[in-house]
Amino acid sequence: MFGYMGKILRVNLTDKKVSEEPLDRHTARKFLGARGLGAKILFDELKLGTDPLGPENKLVIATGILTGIPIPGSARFVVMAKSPLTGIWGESPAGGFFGNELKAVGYDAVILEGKASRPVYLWVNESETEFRDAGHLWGKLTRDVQREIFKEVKDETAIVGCIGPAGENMVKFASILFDFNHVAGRTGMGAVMGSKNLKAIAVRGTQRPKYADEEKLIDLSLKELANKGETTRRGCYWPDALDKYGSNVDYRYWQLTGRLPTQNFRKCTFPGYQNVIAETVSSTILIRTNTCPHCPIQCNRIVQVSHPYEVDPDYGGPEYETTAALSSFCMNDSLAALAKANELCNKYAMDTISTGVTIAFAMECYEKGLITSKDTEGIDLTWGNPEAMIQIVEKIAHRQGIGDLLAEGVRRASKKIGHGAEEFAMHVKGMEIPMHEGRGKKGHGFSYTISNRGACHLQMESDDLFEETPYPEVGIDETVKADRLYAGPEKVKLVKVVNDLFILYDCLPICRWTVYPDGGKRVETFAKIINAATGWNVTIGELMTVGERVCNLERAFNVREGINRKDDVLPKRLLEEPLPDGPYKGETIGKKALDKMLDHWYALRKWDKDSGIPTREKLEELGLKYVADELENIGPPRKAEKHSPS
Amino acid sequence: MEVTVRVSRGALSEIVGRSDVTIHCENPVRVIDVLNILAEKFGKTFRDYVFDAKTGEVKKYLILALNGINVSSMKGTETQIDDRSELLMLTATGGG
Repeated sequence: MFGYMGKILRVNLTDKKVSEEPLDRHTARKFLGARGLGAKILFDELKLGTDPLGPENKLVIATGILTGIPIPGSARFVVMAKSPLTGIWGESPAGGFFGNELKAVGYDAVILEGKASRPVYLWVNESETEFRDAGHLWGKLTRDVQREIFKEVKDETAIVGCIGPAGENMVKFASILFDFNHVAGRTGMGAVMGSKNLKAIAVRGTQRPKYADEEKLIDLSLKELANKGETTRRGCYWPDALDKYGSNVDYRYWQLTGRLPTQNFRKCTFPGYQNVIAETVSSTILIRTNTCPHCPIQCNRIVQVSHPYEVDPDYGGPEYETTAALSSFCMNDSLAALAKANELCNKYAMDTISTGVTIAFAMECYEKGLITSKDTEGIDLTWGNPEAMIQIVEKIAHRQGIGDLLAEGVRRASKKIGHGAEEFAMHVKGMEIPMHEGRGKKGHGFSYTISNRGACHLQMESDDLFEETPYPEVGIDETVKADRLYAGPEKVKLVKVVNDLFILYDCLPICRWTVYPDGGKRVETFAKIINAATGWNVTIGELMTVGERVCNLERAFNVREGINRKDDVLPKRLLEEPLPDGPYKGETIGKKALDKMLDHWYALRKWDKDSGIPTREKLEELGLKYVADELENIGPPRKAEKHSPS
Repeated sequence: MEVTVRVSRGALSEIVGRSDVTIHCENPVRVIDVLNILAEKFGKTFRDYVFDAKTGEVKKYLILALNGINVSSMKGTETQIDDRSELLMLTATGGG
């Protein structure tokens, strides 16, 4: 099969058995790879009610056709499992070298199942897949683990993905760190790895796929490498801004437009913003930038601080989400403390978004007297206290004191605390809400409710991006309405098209930063690249259908676990509390408006209006009859109290 | 009077050729006056980037901040500019 390695590695950690199985050609065409392949594997192989931290859960790391092809943004892969944070579909895309190297050692994906009897790491090389003792690595920080493994496998060019103490302690939002500072951040994939006693996976190979038309592929790749984007499309040299400032270039824009998530979404502008904006970072603590293979954008930040906190540049530097979650969201205006907290999250391997949102939640609890200084062992967890923020990061990673409760995420923590704490636990389906203010851009806000992995900012894009910028090639035309405050049916149509498009991106996979300037035209380019690689004749329509298919499959996974319309909600704060200041002062989303948007969403998706369950008609249309059969066997929607994932 | 206009990195800085421009004016100016001065100076490409051809309004994806405050929370493009002020022209972005 052209374009793929054609093999999946399956590792059973209980029996220490390794096997290879072929990647089915039909599956490859229907689901492409990466997120699509993982969705197929996990829907088929996991049963209803699988314990996310039990040996029956499976961790899938999957690449796609584009992984390894030398075009900007292609160095991506996706880590997937049933999430311990949410109890539903868990998925975490990441960049860097790991995906390329997994293919180079001969595999399109690896499935990790079972549980090792004691800590191990895997060394996957061209001779064999070895189980190596990791007892001496357990407890070690991520960089130290990677360096130790380089010595042990005698190869400093090996690419290592590992967990830190947070994953070992099964912090529900623990992450996996690849090549020092590329992170599979969200949904707790690090906790799944920790539950399997798997400390790390190291890969090294020299192979590459066979391609159908190598000459054409090279030609297309060279054009992509030279492409700076159609700059007149929105007049935005997006890649240049990312190069100089990283994704944190957004921070000032959100502040100036009154949509910067602040103080647990109680506010929308932050007085201390100048201390942490990208321009300040660039002129003070930034020492260099970094990038993924084949990508000229250089969006990664590398920072160094010596006072009042020592921040090791080996752990990179904060991007936008991290910056907002650990500055404005917690009312912290200390850049040094922000950089330190980012470093700790990478050292211990924890999702920075969930960490920041959880700390902000704890700060609000402290303010309201629901958590006291006795609970925090003397830490003064007041808003904006940088030292307190850093101490709580440590406690969460090690599940010490109050950290043990907070390590469960805001949904569980708020239930335990009670006394109304659930009202300001900012999550959807158990996943902490990222740093985009949905009250001021209602499509993006709506997308939190419909995202299959819980609140996620990557299933849609800021409405602003589509204002005055159609993507007619994929259906974002005059029938959609992108105006940021509009929340009617044409906005839902925009969300639906973008959602399918973004899921497709995760199946290729391709980094979002490289696709914005050219909009829908880029999908046409990807079709050409895929056809040159595989010998297929895919069209834009077929690719968009892949996005829709995978969306439905993930939704079916969630429905099987008890998700239905009652879970497609937003916290009360975003529904009812208006933005307090700025250009969009007074805006909310509103329960009635959200319900109407959901009605339109289900109609567009051809899902049942009352339950939000994909209809048989839709699933069969997408070639998922067996999924429809399975959902029918499970029976009608179950009540939230009995079956909602805890 | 003197006004410093700072433009965000990207197409704007490409059109203008640098990241900031200082304008000297004899009389007090509004934000709209500064934009028109810049359009005179940098030509059609700048004008097309900043102004909607149909309505003549400043395009929605352009944020204008005067001394760190979004002009939309003041008098918009009618906002008067003080001497030695800084006008920031920032393009809408996205991502996370």
